[in-house]
Amino acid sequence: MSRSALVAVGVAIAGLGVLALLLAGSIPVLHVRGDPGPRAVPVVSAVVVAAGATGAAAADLRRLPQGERISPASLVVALATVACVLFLSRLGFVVATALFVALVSLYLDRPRRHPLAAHLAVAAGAAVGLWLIFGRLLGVTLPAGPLGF
Amino acid sequence: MESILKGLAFVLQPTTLLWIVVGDIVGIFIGALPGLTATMGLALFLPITIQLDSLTGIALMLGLYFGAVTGASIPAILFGIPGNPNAIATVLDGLPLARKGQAGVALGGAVIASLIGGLISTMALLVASPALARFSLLFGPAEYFALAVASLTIIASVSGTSLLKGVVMGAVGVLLSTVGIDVMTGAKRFMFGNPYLANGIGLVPVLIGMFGITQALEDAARPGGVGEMVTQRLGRLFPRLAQLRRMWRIILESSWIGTLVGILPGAGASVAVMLAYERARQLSERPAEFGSGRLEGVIAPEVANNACIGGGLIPTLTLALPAESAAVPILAALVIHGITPGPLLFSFQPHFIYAVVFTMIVANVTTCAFQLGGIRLFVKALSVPPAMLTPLIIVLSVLGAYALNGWIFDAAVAVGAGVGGFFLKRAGYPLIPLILGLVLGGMLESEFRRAMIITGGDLSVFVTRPLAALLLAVGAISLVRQLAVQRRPAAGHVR
Repeated sequence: MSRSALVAVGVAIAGLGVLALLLAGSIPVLHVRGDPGPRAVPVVSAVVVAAGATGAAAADLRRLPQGERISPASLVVALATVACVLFLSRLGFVVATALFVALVSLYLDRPRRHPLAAHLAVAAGAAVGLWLIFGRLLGVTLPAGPLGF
Repeated sequence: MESILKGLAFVLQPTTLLWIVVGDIVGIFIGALPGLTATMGLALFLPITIQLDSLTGIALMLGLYFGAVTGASIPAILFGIPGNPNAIATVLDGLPLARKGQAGVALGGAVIASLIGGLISTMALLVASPALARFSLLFGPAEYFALAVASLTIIASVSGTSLLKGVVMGAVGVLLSTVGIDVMTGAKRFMFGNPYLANGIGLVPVLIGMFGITQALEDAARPGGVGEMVTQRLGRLFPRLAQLRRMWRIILESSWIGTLVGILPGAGASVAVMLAYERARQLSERPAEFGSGRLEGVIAPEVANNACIGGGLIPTLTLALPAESAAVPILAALVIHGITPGPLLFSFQPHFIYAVVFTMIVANVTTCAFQLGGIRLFVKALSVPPAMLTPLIIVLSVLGAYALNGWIFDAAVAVGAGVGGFFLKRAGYPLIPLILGLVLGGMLESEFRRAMIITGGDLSVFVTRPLAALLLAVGAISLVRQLAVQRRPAAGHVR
């Protein structure tokens, strides 16, 4: 990761700590003798997060860039995963899973080493297999789309 | 002697052995699937145990328990996804070993370690139950708080190259653990009007996300991926006997850590495995290599997590106090069958105790035999090209998170944790302290506040109570030592 990206992550975490600290102020304090209340641990941990992450970001600022850049493949797969969850209810488990597995495996298999049929077979097999195991065998109610599964 | 023979006679009946085997196989399956925990499996099978007689029902549950705990090492080593929270530490060196082509040694070592840990803690259950139960009663709120802090500081100091980043992640975990309704006062914290957050951020979705999805996103960038390396180079299945002999002290201490932590209600196997991992690192000839594929890093936590089973049953049977969530269905089964746990159980129904002990021995051995026998089968079943394996792991992770409650929200948490974890890891922020903070944050806060209520706000309780002071000192020493190591020019560190 580049130095600026490292610092950005540190700043983001510090920002999370500051935000948590501000929000913790709205937690009601109900007094029982000796009890520091429901606000204490959130405040202390938020302070540690904010201060610690600021220090870590400052240390990263002084460091040379290290490690590899983030691969575009990882970012694409991350976006696809988010999309899969967003469309899980609308498409149904089987369709969403089959689409996700097929598209991601085709994307990652570049240059193509396996035939298209293999990708589609694995996608379909995984979707149906998991539906049978979780939906039928284990009794988990899976999202059903317009096709009923 | 009559009680021992009665107990042995029960275990050797064909029906008992059959139900133990059923429990083993189901348990391994449950343990190997992310999202399915031992507690869930035990709760699902409770209705079945009610149809059986008391001892047979308990035999089924013990087989399932051992199977789930031992089976969790399979995805931890092969994919870096702990099947249960108790396999968190196994990932640290298990996955690197698999990447080096030693998946077989890691898997076989994990099974042998599980067998040893389970057998030692079973003996502890038999021999030292009353004394160990009394030890657990020494732990009050101050000690539990100190234990949580010690665990967090130890893991913050061994995870990653930056101590500061480890501490920050631990604090993030504790902060996340405060989300939801405060159990002491009913105050709502960081819920933003979302009813799904009433019970807090789910540990299992975060665990699945940060181990399963994060790993899969990293593998997406790697042309070979993990799966191909694992299936091509399973290699030998057992560590060399000489290797295991050199680890005798690690094995012994890990089993005692697991047993002792297991008897502490609320502490849990996730604490035991971290303490065992750190202790193994201290005892190892090559501590700097921990995190990059040391067999001790797999053996120690696997010994400890199985030792927790026997340890956990001690307060369950002697005090009717379930030490961790998985013991609750077992306690329920005992009560439903009319068996009253407590000190008098040892006096009035000793044959029951011996039957449980022999059942645990058999369940432990048969679980390990099945898992060892099935290792090549598990890996063969996973001989899928990496391009296809990566999306399958992600789907399994999302489904595992969803299956907990049937909520899309849990699946979203897993994905959020996975994607967030990917960027955090790339930036050098270790994930294990965050997970442990989430696990222990609740205990840390509740025990701290209880201690404050009891003492009227007197903080000196954490230094005046010897056990609490000792535990805090252990945590502090770990931090200071890691700070000293990082300041040295050729710093030794864990990944």
